[in-house]
Amino acid sequence: MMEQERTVLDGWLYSNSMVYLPTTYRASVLAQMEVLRRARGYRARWYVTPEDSDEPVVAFSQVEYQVRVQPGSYLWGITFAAPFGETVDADDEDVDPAKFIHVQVTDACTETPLLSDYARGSHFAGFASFGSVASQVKTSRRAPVMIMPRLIGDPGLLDVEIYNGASVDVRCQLVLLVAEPCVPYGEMRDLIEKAGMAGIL
Amino acid sequence: MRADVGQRHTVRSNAVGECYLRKPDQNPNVYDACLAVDCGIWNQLVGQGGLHKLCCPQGRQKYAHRPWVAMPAEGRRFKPIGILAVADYPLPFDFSDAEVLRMRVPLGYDGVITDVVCELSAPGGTGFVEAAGDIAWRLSANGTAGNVRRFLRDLGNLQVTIGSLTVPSPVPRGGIRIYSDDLVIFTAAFAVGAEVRINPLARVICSVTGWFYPR
Repeated sequence: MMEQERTVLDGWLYSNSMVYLPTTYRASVLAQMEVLRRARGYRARWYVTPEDSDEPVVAFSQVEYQVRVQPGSYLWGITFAAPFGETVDADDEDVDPAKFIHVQVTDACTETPLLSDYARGSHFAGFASFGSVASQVKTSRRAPVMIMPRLIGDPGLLDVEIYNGASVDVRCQLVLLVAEPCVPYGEMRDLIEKAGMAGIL
Repeated sequence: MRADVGQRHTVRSNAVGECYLRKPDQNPNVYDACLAVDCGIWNQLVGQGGLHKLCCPQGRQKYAHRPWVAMPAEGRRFKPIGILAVADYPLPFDFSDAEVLRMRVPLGYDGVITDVVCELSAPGGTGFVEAAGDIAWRLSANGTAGNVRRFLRDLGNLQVTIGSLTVPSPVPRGGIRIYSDDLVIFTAAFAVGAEVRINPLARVICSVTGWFYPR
């Protein structure tokens, strides 16, 4: 039992630039991920949409993708990059193209959207701390972690919509950060029972 | 190397303790069991119809069918019509978006747009050639202008007329859902130089049809 209660050491704790205070957003959301971080039967899997970073979202248009994940996975974070060295406003190169992008992720199984309405890409993107946006000097990123991990049930499909409101094509990528079960749900139940924890189930 | 950063932060160590690399293994612990319980509960919820069938505001009946597919009894239909006189568009034409129709989704209601209309009408000829690029209709939600607008699916850059008030055109691929407090705006943009081709007496007509339902 002592082994299970040790402090979790993972990539979240390594930062040269952030003071790890219990009052920060990151500390709060990591507390919600405590069970997931301590579980052994999950591994990290990142899904990128669109997979081809060269595929633009056409002006005033949208792309829709369906991402297939392992049923029982937890979607715990979203991060976004847009665009790759492009300027959407010829008069003002400081206009961040991520502001022209709206995204929505929907659990296709329950038809439950992740967000109550379409959210702007800039909510999930990095932001420039100095220099112009067009020059892509982005030294900070928003915390990609969601307030709570979201369980994706069978059949493990996520609908991703990316809308481009700019008058030019924009190349962007949305990354879904997922914790994937190493074994299917039924098999995991068997393993848990063999490990003597059937009472918990 | 920055002087204010210690060497232990800048040099990657290859002496990684076993506990640092938490590889998945076949020996589940109590936290795996906890997550398995979570997964089992979720599967039961989905099996009973999902959250939509279980979580409703107090006093509201559960929908028998998806309210964005079939209008429920509590639904309210809408069909606003907007008109813009071409003469009201600033000269010379500059391809900026001029508002034709504005509709706000009531608070506490979601909705679905099932049919749209965007057309041009004029005594005699309108001077508009389909898909010639002289006019672009755009239907958007979530904002009024600039980078806050989100154009609705497949309706962000229409260069042809669609439907008529007597025979509206169904939106491509089924209804388009809109959400509480969304600002739905239909705009028209006239291309640079189109003033010599478009009849100045013409009227741009836009409409959306659908229904709202309590969310």
